[in-house]
Amino acid sequence: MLSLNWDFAVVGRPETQAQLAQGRSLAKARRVALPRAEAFAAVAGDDPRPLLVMRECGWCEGSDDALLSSRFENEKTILLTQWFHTIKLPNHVLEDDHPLRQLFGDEAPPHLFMATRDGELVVGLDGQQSQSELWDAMDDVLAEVYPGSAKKTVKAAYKLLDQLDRFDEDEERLRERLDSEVEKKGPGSSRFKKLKRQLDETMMDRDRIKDQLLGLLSGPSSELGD
Amino acid sequence: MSPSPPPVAPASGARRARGQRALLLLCWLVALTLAPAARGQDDDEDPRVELIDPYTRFDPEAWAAAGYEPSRRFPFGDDHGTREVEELLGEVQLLWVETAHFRIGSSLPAHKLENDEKKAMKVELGRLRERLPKVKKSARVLDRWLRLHLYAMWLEETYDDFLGRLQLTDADFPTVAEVQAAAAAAEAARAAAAEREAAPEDGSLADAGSSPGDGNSPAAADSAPAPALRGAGPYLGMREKFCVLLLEKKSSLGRYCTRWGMQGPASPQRFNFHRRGCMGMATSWEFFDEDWKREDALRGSVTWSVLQMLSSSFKGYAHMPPAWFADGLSAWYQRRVNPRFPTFSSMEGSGRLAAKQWNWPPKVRARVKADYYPTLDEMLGWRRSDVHGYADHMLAWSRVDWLMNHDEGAFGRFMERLKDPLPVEPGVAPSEDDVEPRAREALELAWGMTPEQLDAAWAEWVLDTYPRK
Repeated sequence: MLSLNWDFAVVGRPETQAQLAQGRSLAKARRVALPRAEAFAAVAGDDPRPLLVMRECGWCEGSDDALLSSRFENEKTILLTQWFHTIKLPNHVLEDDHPLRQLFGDEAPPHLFMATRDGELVVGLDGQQSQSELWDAMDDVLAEVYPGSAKKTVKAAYKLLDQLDRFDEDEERLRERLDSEVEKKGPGSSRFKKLKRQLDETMMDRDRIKDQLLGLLSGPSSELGD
Repeated sequence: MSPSPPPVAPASGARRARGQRALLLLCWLVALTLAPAARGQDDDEDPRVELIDPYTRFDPEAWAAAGYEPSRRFPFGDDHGTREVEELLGEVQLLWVETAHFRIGSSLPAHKLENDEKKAMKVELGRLRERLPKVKKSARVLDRWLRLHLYAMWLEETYDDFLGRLQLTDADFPTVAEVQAAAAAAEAARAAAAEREAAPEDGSLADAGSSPGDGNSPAAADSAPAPALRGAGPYLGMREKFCVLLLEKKSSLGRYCTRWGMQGPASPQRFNFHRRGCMGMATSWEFFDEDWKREDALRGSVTWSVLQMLSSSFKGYAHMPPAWFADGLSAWYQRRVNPRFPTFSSMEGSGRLAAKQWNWPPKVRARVKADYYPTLDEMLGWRRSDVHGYADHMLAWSRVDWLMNHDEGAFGRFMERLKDPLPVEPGVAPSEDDVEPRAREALELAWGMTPEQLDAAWAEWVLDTYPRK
């Protein structure tokens, strides 16, 4: 149900359509780093949420290791990211002429950071942080940006996710049994009908919880007037 | 190309032998250190330097013998080529080849084969060796270039197989020049017709010696069908070759899709590069994890996507085949790679369950025995936006399994009629509602049966041929 929805913010450069139409590759145009405010505006786009920006590195090679734990459950982290506009940038963003270079400071550029859309508040992390350090940093930015209590909403969503997990497991189990029953005795057996009824009820309950959760998750953008 | 173990030193004097062994060991270690760059497996080298293909070393003759076009730089999508993709992905190292019908880019990493992959892969590598003699049949690790060469071979074979089942060859599709000439002729005919319409109605411009239907009169020329061209170009009816991008990272796929305004990267993607006149697909090795991190799982998934492209592109991409047929055909090809790793266009319920239940023939048989399946008439009404359970996908596969096993020429006849232009207003894209009656007509024309008759024949065949377990 929940996933990390990365935006792979790409800042293009002008292209010569005529050259491409002729099937020719373009000569490399000169790249220029955007000023810091423009770089923030470019990645923020139209999304009203605060930013969570992660830079890939040679070590984690495009994985989410700097954000997600390999030892603990990541459900809470992933849930919290729904309140952020999550952006993943390539390692070569640190090249001097990369358009988004100025998102990162000159000294010890962070591996990931949470920030307000304009870059006024930036909380940087080195990718080695503990889960609680990460959640604290996320909370700091959420508290700054969201007028309501994001913490309370996150807690409610977390409960619904738990319930949804249980329904998913039930659904899989029932489908497996139903499948086996139809192949053994066909759709006319009383057992098939009973299992089918149970599956329908489970799916109805699951859909109800899912709707509640989606309602909560649509909150982040709507609270900010999206 | 992998380094050999150090040779054994001659046994003339233990000390000298030890010294020689030490020297040889040193040489071997140096060779080990240097060899990966030549083998194409070094992750630490500057990724922007093109990795040399160890199997051809880019020798023009060896390269051509492998079935590749000379250049490793070519246009790819609508407004980008190999260089733009490389520039976008920065440090991601891409390898490129262009075959007779495909343009392929790959950043797939080396892959160590699972034990149960080795036997089948040995056969594949043996076949690849016929065109690339430096390939070792018993390779346990598929290096980056080797994977690309394998995909180039597999993609071309899939294309040839598809073309063969249509009972066509490349020569049956028009060149771009022929398409342009036909368009010019049609334009001239339209202009002539407009001129006649504007002329007086006393027949003064009519040729006194001609009569309707004899082929000489302007009216006859007007109504004569244009030469039957299969689409707008030589690649099954597309102007340009099919594009395939095999990426290691989902983030690379995400950047590619974001940059060129396409969806992504939650799943493998297919693209219609309409300005260039070709179709493309892109996927990521990261979509495959745990038990699915295998070459045959990726190959099967790529095959599934490629079949979607080929069946949609035949005679031009004006309309797609109906959903049940496109998915069933893709699954039919995919299962020939390895049935254990199915792909679905969309899935109701648990995908995990669907992945577990991959042994389809006994399951289809049980459903037919229980008389519990959608009729072909119902399947013809399916739309792409409908979400089906895995059993529906399985039954669509089985329908196609029957079709592909009955009457060799029927598949070609079906596709020919199915993909004939649909009578819609100019500039309007045909909808699935427009395609459905055409699919019914094409099925009956090709196999000579109504949907009800096809249902009965299929059910009987399933009970006769599919195993109980």
